[in-house]
Amino acid sequence: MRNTVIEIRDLYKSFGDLHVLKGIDLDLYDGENLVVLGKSGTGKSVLIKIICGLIKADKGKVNVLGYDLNNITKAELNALRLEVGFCFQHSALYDSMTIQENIEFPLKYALKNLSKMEMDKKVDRVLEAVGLEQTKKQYPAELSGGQKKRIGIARTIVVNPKILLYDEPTAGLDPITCVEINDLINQVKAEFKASSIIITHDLTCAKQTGDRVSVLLDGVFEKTGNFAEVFNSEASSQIKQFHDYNFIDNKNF
Amino acid sequence: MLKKPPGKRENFISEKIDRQLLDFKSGVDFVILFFKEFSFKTLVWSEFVHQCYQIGLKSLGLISLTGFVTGLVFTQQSRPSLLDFGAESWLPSLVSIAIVRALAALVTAIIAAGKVGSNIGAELGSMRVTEQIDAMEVSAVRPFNFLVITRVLACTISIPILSFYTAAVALAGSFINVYVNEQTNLRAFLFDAFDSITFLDLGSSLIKAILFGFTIGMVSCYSGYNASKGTIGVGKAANTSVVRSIFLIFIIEIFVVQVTNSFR
Repeated sequence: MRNTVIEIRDLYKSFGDLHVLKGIDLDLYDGENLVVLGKSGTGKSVLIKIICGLIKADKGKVNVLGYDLNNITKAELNALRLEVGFCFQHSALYDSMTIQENIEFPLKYALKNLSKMEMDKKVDRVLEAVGLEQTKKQYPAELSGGQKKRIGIARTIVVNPKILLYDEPTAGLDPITCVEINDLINQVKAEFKASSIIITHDLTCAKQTGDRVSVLLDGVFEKTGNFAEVFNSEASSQIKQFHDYNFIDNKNF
Repeated sequence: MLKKPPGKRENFISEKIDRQLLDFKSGVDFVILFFKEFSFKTLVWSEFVHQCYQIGLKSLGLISLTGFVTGLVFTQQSRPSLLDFGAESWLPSLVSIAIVRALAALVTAIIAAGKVGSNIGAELGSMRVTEQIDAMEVSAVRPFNFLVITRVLACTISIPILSFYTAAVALAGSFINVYVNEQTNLRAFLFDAFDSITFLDLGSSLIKAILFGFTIGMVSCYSGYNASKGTIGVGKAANTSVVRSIFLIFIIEIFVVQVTNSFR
């Protein structure tokens, strides 16, 4: 039987009168990539922000790597955060730091006990993994959108997390860079053996990176399975519509 | 009669005043959090030193110019009034008292509120809206310790030092004016200037500058750290940092003058 690294039961989250998550159940298994698909504003990002403790759930059980997020101390949360990496939609690189300093940041200020040589080694390793060794001395403003995403991923994997949370990894990128990022996600999975949740509304990304796909509609998971199972002929009209709009180019041209 | 929708609370006074009261409370909580979290053990020294450089050293040019002009102009403008009473020899004393007791700290604080305060407000504000603060948090680094404590402490230490530097530069400006007009030598000028300054003047000026520095750091960090609503929020954070800092600087000035005068 596969180990569950994230277990969520009956999760609710509202912002004022806006009910975003309405009773979510989710399991993430060790070593798998789970894609959460859904339209903008359906609470996909809220879900992964709850998983890494940035947002508190209103109700429900959230268990991440054995930690119950409803009863967690600050020290435990910090320990958990070293095991759970978060790749932000807009990369969230520190503007005032070079790429090397950006990637070193969690090593320097969270792990603390590494020598300069060990840090350099780790930085070189992840930069090589994302194929951007030459950007070490550059600042984020000097990089393209795709390069920023890659550095964001490098900064996340530098601490060897057990879980990776990707927030819209391909949003705002051209199709070729999207495929490169998808390949990188798969490469990271193979090389770093991390389990991942990938939040996206890009079906190509879902198809290329997801072992399982869950479709979030109106605050609940409508369907979960592999890509073919979710988008088969018995899919609901909303899921079909989501599929058709994503592949509209293929249909028309 | 129409029923109130469930979950909607009526305003305590009015929506605007309620919002300001809540903002004030959250500001007080922010200050309390600073004292709770502050410890030399957890201080990020490298960032603190970097901020001292940014806040202190990088303000030297502007502070030097402002201090020098303040001393020069104040001396120039005071001369005619003293001449009317044949008391132009009191000029060094008058200027030094005005500079040490009030002008140096006040001018430095206002300049710092504009330069440093807006910088901190905008920097933290943009870090907030671009999720860089969240990125620190999920990296298991406490952004409050890294960003707020270092900046507030750097302001609290740098601004008193800058104030005394301003006083020195302003006295230099004043001396040049006195030397050109009255041919007073430096020794005589310094003797007259320092003869009238007491420890109470220096002490109150130091306390004021520390309070100014702490206020500028705290207000700017609070505005930036709690910025929202995208780029508009960043602009608002920078603006609020300056306006609120200057307002509080004048309140502190009045308060400290009242307390100091009661000891004279």
